[in-house]
This record gives sequence, structure tokens and C-alpha cells, in this order.
Amino acid sequence: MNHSALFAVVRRQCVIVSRDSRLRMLSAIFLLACVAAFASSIARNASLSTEADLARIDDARAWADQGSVNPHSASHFGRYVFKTPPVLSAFDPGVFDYAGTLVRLESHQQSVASGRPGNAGTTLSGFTPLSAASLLQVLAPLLIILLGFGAFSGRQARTLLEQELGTGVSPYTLLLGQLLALGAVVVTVLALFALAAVPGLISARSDGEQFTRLFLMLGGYTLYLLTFLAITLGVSALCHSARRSLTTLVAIWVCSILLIPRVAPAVAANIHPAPSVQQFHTEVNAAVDAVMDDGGNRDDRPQRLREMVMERFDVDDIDDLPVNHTGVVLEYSEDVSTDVYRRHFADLYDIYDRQLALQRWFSVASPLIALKPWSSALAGSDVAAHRAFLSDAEDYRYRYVQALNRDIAINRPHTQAEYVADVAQITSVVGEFQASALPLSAVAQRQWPDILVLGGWGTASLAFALWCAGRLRRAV
Amino acid sequence: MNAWVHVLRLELRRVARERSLLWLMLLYMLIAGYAAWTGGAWADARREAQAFIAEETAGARNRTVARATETMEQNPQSGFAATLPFGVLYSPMLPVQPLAPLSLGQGDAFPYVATFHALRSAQGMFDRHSLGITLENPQVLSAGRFDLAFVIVFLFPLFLLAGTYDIWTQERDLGTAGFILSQPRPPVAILAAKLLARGGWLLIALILIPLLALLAVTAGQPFDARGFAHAVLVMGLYGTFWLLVAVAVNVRARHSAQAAIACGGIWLALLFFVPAMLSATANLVRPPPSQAGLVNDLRTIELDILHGRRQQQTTESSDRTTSASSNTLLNTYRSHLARIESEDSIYAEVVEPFRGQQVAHLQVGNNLRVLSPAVTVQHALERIAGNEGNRAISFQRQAQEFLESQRHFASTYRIENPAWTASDHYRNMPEFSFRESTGTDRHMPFLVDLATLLLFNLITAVIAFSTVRRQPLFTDDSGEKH
Repeated sequence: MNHSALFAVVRRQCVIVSRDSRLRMLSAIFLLACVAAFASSIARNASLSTEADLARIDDARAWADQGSVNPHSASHFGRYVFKTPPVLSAFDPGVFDYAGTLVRLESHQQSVASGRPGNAGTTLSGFTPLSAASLLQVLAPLLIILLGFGAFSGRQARTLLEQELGTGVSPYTLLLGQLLALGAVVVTVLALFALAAVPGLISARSDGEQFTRLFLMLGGYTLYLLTFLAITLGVSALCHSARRSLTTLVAIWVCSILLIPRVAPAVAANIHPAPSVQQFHTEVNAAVDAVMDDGGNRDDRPQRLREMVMERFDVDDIDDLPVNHTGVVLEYSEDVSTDVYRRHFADLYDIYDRQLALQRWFSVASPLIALKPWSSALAGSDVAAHRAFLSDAEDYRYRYVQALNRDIAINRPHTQAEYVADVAQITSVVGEFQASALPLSAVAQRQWPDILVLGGWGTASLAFALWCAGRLRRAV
Repeated sequence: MNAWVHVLRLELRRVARERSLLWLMLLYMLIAGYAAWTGGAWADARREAQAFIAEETAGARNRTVARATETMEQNPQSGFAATLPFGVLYSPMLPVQPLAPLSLGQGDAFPYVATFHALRSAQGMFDRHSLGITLENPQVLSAGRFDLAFVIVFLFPLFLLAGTYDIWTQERDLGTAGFILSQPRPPVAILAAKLLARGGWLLIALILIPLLALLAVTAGQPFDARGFAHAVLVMGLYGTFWLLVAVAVNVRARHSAQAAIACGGIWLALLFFVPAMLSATANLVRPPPSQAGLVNDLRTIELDILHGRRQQQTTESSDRTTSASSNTLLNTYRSHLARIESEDSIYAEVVEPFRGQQVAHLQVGNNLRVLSPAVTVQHALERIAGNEGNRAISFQRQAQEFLESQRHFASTYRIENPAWTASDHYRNMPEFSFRESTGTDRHMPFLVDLATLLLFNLITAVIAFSTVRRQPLFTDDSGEKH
């Protein structure tokens, strides 16, 4: 390929692009919309964070205000943990609005997260909320199509093409020139958005890692949009008429952006269905009972547990136990129920994983299927991040409840009198709940197939565009 | 031959030759079929879950009644039977409507089962089965349900536009515009003939396909003729609106590519931007209430109640009686009930404003729908399917009222029917039956939806056909306008 010719074509295209007022206006409006969506999401996240912080304070106060009560009753009074929106969810909210933001922690059971901000119950909840990510995922490819569908198709473009090819320029050079010039516009818009996002991220007290994450996210978006650009130019080169080029590209957009990303989760959920809440709890209760009763009768459970405790401490009489029998039984039953719940939730998450794996296959038909998990994982708003939060909450719940049970075992006297203790004091050793974010390395390890698929799409679309360019000489 | 009929026939012949429309129809059939099946699966799963809960509740009830009957037979003087109604479990449910697969709407946003007995606090009556209403993958939920409502609201206009976006500009592209306009007929009539020929059959086919799919997945349910009629009406008006949009664009666009861009832009604006703006406005004007705030307010009350109970227990411990005669036990239960009712009234001070805020948010969201035909259609479909927010809120209120009536029944039935046995009570236990809205409450929202769609149609028709009067449909090489 003649590099000077390519350079000249790129320079000429850049001049055309910079003079195109329609392109300038569309890019500016789009950039403005992205920045506005990002800024409003930053404000919304700040309000949700404040709400979560206040709720945390109220919850801790309510726990401390119990004073001296029975520790087991206190464990049923329970506590709540509240999820704070991750900083970059302002860019890509992912599943944050649908996963639940508060979890009740109490003994004997692992609760499902509730409080879904995205499910306010109005008809409007069914429509896609605007976010910078949704604009880049849905709207940007359409704008690229609208700007590029007539690059090589249509009477005017074909006439110009004839003249250009007549000067001896290779069609590949022409296509690459268009690709580089329009690609520069895409990269410029993304870079300007990144710049505009900096103050927002700083105001949200982001650390260096958040900037790295944003950079990697935008890297994914660049690949995604360049893929669409290459497809657009390829189709434009392939179709003689602008009408056919536009119809084909809009059909591609509808299928890959609108239809497949909506169908894929539905298919995955139908093939690997999640259990109903009722089914889940029935199975958990049955499993807990099976372990607690050890194949015996439920009515005999107290006696069996008493014998188990006496055997463990090697005593013949319950009064000879060095600890309180009830506390030990509570600790044991908590171990059993926690183990059962964890196994069942692991099975549930396994279903989610299988759904996601199945959806990944759909990324062969739509690059958006690969981009979405990449983007939301880096934003910390995907299912894996939610699972990490739930896992932290569960560990905290277990430590909390067992601290109370242990207190009963150690400090409750062998009498029937009601035992009370300062529960805030007992649980002070557990500390306050801290949710840990998934490290970038873990995200990268989990999401590398997505970026690989995006890379594959980029390469395939470039190859397609070049193949279409090869047919241009025959076409004119 | 009448020129109008000639244009009509010509257009129909063209449509018949267009293979791409056939492929579009096949694709649409596949999509609608799958969406209907998804909706049907959701409705079946919901019904199964309700049947499971009903069975569980019936089992618990039977055990309670059997225990009471046994105790009464052994000791007719026992007070246990008198307290039976206090312990009977109830699970009022929001029934799944026959046309639920049409739109899953807000089905996952609100509780659909309440579980309680008279002595249980009303607080938490929806928690047992509905706190985590679904264990569905959040990623599946965030993608949006793939139901018939999605097909109708989003894809139906897209398929209509795909068939009609160049209804007039294709004549310009082909160079036949001048010839057609030379017929002795006004341009408006010619345009109407083309619209009828191309858009008419497309509209009928695109309405029939999802309705047939819906009919297939709801075959086992009672036939809801009114629901189907409403759906046809809504889809008809929505489809006409989009056909008029195509006409309005065509009379202005210079060529098909421009028309396609304009149609796509309008579709994008009405289905993405306007709803997103309306949603943001609703959140700004009446924000949804804070779940975290409610949780902590309730905990504070719970703590106060627990402290109060502890103090009461200390003072009452010396007065406790060991007698279990019928009246004494009944009085104990009644006083226990009175205490729970008083506690519930304290909880209500927090819950009612929360629910009020929830209703206000819902109301604003619903009122704003009149600014968008797409949101109006979504709302109408949710109502037809019975999966809309107001019905769910009404269920919560009715369940609450039922709990109160059940409590009243439990504390008075022994006085009003002293000779009743446990089986008598079992037969006469009040049963919950959800009351659908009636009269104005039922019809007004649907009429508003229809009026909104009619208004949008009218405005678009005026824009489209007034342009035809003011602006030439064709300018020939000599500059003469037609």
C-alpha cells in the first residue's frame, strides 16, 4: 500500500470531516448528552451514597440502643447492610438498579437483597434509562451508520469514487482513509468525554484505579465503535444504492443492538431457569432439617442435640458442661444453616454463570453482548460485583451471629432464668461492615474473553471492510 | 378506471412483489412467538408459585383446625377452640390475569402474596413470600423482559416503518412521482390510497401476529374478549400513529435515504429519549421513597415496641393467671390482639407516608405517559395484562383491609356464634377475594390512553396532510410544482 497516498486520503478526509457541519453538530450534541447523563448520574449516586451512609448510621444506632437483651433475640432483630453505588456506575449502572441495595442480616438465614432503585413500579421503569454507557452502546453506532452509510454508496458517491479510482488510488487506501478519518472523530469524542468525566470522578473521590478502569472501559468502547464504523463503510462499499446501504445497516443495528441483547438473556434464563423464591426456601429448609435431624425424627431433635453436645464435651450430665448447652446448639445450628444456604446460593450463582456463559455465545452475533459485561465489570456494577457484596455481607452476618451465640455458650448460666447481655458490646469485636470491591486483576481475569471477542469483531469487521473495498473497483 | 383504485392496485401489486416484506413478516412471527412464550412461561411460573403457597397455607390451616378439633373432642371446655381463628393462616394473593403474558410490566416490582394470621403484625405481611420477589439473575432483569409488550411498543413500529418509510419517496427515487400525480385525483387521495394499500395490510398483519401468539399461550385460561378487544384498539391506534409518521416524513423528505433517517430518528426519540426524560422528570418531581429510610424507621419503632413489651412483661408477670378457661384464654388473645393493633398503628405512621410517596411517584409517572405514545401504549398493555403498579398497590390495601376484617372476625365470632365448633368456623372463615377496580377507576385510565393515542394520531395527521396542501409532492425538471 502506498503510504503517502493513504496519508493524503486521510488528510483530505479529515478536512472534509472537519468542514462537515452536520457531523460537527451531531458529535457535539452526542458528547453533550453523554456528559449530561454522566453528570446527572454522579449527582444521583451521591444522593444514593448519602442515603446509604445515613441508613448505616441509623442501623448502628438501633443496634446499640437495644442495650441489654437476650443475644439470640438480638440476632433476630438483626442488622442491615447497605450498598453504596460504585463510582463508575455513574457511567455504566449495569445491574446496580436491579440487584438490590440492602440486605437483612439475621440468624438462621441468608436473605435476598431487596430495595431495587430501578424497579419503582411505574410504566416508565420499562424503558431504558439514559446513561453515558447506554448512549455509547445504543445511539453511537446508529450515528456512525447515519454518517457513514453514504460514504461509497449512492449516485453522488459513486461518481466521485470513479474519479478517485481513476487517479490510480487503490480502493483499499480510500477505505482505510475514510476509516481513519471517521475513526479519529470517534476517538476524539471518546477522549473529550473522558476529559469531561475527570472533574466528576474527582468530585466522587475516585482513586487512580477508577481512572484506569475508565480508560480500559473507553478502550472497549473504541473497539466497539470502530467495529461499527468498519461494518458501515464495508456495507456502504458493497451496496450500490444509498437506500440499500442504509436499510442493511439499520437492519444490522436493530438486530445486534436492540434484538439480540434483549433475546439473549431471555433465552439464557429459559434454558437455565433460576428457581422461584418459594422453591429455593423450601429446598433450603428441607436440607437444613435433613442435617439437623440426621435421618431421625424431628421431635427427637432436642434430645439428639443435647447428646451430641455432651459427647463433644465428654460429660454425662448436661449440668456438667463447661459451657451453656443452648449456646452450643445455636452455634451448631447456625453452622448447619449457613453451610446449606451457602451451598444453595452457590448453586444459584452457578445458574447465573451458566446463563452468562450462554449469553456470551450470542456475542458472535452482536458485539454489544461482549461490550456490556466488559463495561459493567470495570464499572463495578455487574453481577460479579454484586455477588462480592453479598458474599461480604454473608461473612459479616455469620461472624455477627456466631459472636452472639458464643456469648450465650460462654456466659449464660445453667439456669432457666432469662439471660440478657449488652449485645453492642458483644458484637463490637466484629466491627463495622466493609464491602470490598473486586480488584482490577480479578475483573481482567474474568472478562478477558469479552475483550477478546471485541478484538475479534474489530479484526473481522476490518477484514470485511477491506474485502468490500476490493469489490469497489469492479462495481464502478 | 378510477385513478384512486388504480393507485391502490398498483401499490398492492408492488407490495406483493416485495420479498423483503415477507422475510420481515417471518422474522416478526418468530419474535412475537418467542415473546409470547416467554410471557406465558412467566405467568405459569407465577401461578405455580401461588399454587405452592396456597397448598402450604392450606396445610398449615388443616393442621391448626385438626389440633383444635382434637382438643375440643378431648376437652369440650378447653379454651383452645375459641382461639382458633387467631391462629389460622391466610395467604391473600394477587390473581394472575388471563392476559398476563401480554405484558409482564410491574409484575416483579410489587408483592403478589401476603401471609398472616390475626395475631401477627401487619408489618411484614408481604415479606415472607415477596421480599425477594424473584431470584432471577439481575442481569436478566436489567436487560428488560422480552415480552409481547416489548414487541408491540418497540418492534411493531419499527416493522411498520420498515415497510412504509419510503411510501412516497420511492416514487421520487424511481421518477414515477410526476406520472402518478398527473392522475385526476388530489395528492392527498393518492397518498391515502398508497397508505391504505401498503400500510393497511401491514398493520393488520402486524396486529394479528402477536394477538394469535397471545391466544396460543393463553389457551388454557378463560378467554378475555374485552382484553383482546382493548389490545386490538391500542395496537390499531399506535400503528396508525406510526403510519402517519411515515407519511409526514415522506411528504417532506427528498429521497428515501433521508426519509429513513428521519423515521429512525423519530423512532429513537419517541422510544428512548422521551421516556428517559419523562422518567427523569418523574424522579425529580416525585422521587420514589427510600427503602433504606423505611427499613431504619421501622427498626426504630420495632425497638421501641420491644422495650415497651419488656417493661409490660415485668409489670404483668406478678398478675399472670394459670387458668385456661375459654373466656380467660379468649380475653388474653383479645388483649394480645389489641396490643398488636396498637403497634400496627405506630408502624402505619411510617408505612403510610412511604406508600403515599410510592403512589405519588406512580401517579406522576402515569400522568406523564400522555406525553409519549410509546409510554401510553406500554401503560395500556400493562393494564390489560393486569401487571401494572396501581393494581399491585390496590392489592396491598385490600390485603391490609382483609387482615383487619379477619382480626375483627377472630375477636367477635365467639360472641356472635357461641355454639360454633371448629369445623363450623373452618367453613365460615372469611376468604380473601381480590376486587378488581370498577366503574370510572377501571375505565378512565384506558379511556385516557385511547384519547392520548387519538390526539397523537390527529396531530400527526394534521402535520402530514397539511404539508401535502402547502408543499408540492413533486417538482419536475421545469420547476413546475405538483
